Amino acid sequence: MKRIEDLINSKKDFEIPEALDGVVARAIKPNAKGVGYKKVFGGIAAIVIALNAFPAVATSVRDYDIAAPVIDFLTLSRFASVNNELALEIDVTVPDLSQLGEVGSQLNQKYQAEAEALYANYLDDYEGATPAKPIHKYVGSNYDFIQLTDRVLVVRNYLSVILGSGIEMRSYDIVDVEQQKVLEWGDLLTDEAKVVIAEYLDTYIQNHPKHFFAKDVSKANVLELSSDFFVNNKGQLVISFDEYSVAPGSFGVVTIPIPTEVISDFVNREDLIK
Amino acid sequence: MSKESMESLWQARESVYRVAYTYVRNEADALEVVSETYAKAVAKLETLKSPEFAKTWLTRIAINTSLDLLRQRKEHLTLVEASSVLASAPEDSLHLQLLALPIDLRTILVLRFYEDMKLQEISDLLDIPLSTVKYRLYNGLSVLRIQIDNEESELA
Repeated sequence: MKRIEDLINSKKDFEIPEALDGVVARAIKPNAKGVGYKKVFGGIAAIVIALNAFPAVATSVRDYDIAAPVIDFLTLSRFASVNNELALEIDVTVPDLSQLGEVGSQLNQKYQAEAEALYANYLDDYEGATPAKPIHKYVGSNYDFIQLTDRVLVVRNYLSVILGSGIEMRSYDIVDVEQQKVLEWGDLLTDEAKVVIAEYLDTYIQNHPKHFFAKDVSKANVLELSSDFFVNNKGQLVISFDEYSVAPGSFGVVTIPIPTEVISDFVNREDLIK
Repeated sequence: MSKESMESLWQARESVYRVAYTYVRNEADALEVVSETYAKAVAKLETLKSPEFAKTWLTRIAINTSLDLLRQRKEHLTLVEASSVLASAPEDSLHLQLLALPIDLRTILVLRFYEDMKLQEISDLLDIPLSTVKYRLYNGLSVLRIQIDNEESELA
């Protein structure tokens, strides 16, 4: 005979999907508001907002699935502005990775250029909008970090664009501080791995037809739908698909971890993929 | 919109998901309910009297949103319930057996034992008499073959 305690303990078997945090964060983020002050940096005059609407949420999202110790970096620059009349908002943060050495400085330049491009778009939108014709657009990006070893970390970039409905994208840089380089696919795995990974992803997606656009995905095209990958804190290769690319928008960015036994014959960096 | 209120909403997300899943019993719909619940919550956050009530408040929104979704798919629901597609097998884990119970019973058990709500709170939340809550609770435990002797204090 079972007891009440068994029932209470069975709560731990209730599987919480990885997508939950993203779904909640997106549902509450579009209403972010801030109050601004002016600041000039990087040659661009930006209205920088003390946009601290949801610091607790941002922290919680960031901490999710990051192994201790949590690493953090200073902010290199932040492009933030809000105009309620035009329904236009941007909040883009660039981390300062210069303490990682030359590779960190290169990434600083890359991220800064991406942020400046987003801000330039914002200014274009700003010029083209009037209070009678508001835009209803929000652009936000932020970073977090996954430490894989004491010399290797993943920089994960989140970009959200909300125009009518929202779309979320992520990109990843795996940084080897020892070698002072951003690791590419070939550094981690041989090209042959793509065949078994495509097969694994196709099977995974076909087995979850309710969650994915299964009919549109096959092992022939699944890796064409994504070139984004990273390694999570469990040492698994993870393939990341942008929102809407393989699944309904409510799932946001879909990340599928590849069990290491599937690709073990093709791993070049066994210190990272294990 | 206080930081504390937002933090409370964020902290409650897994509870909201469990409650939604208890009603709709599939991940995709449960996430849809969660998304809608939070969107509604943020839109009328000023009606949240205090952050300490956030979880109960969100749960109420999640239940109403779930019921709306089920009503939209009434035909489907009836089919599923009638054909007992989700009926549990003896070898299933206890939480699967719980989720296979009829909706009235599984809701009470999830709120009481997963979300740690008191029976009076559940009665208020679902707007049903306390006696009905108790009846469904004992009924659910009985179906799951869970011993309830001398557990009165734990149940209240």
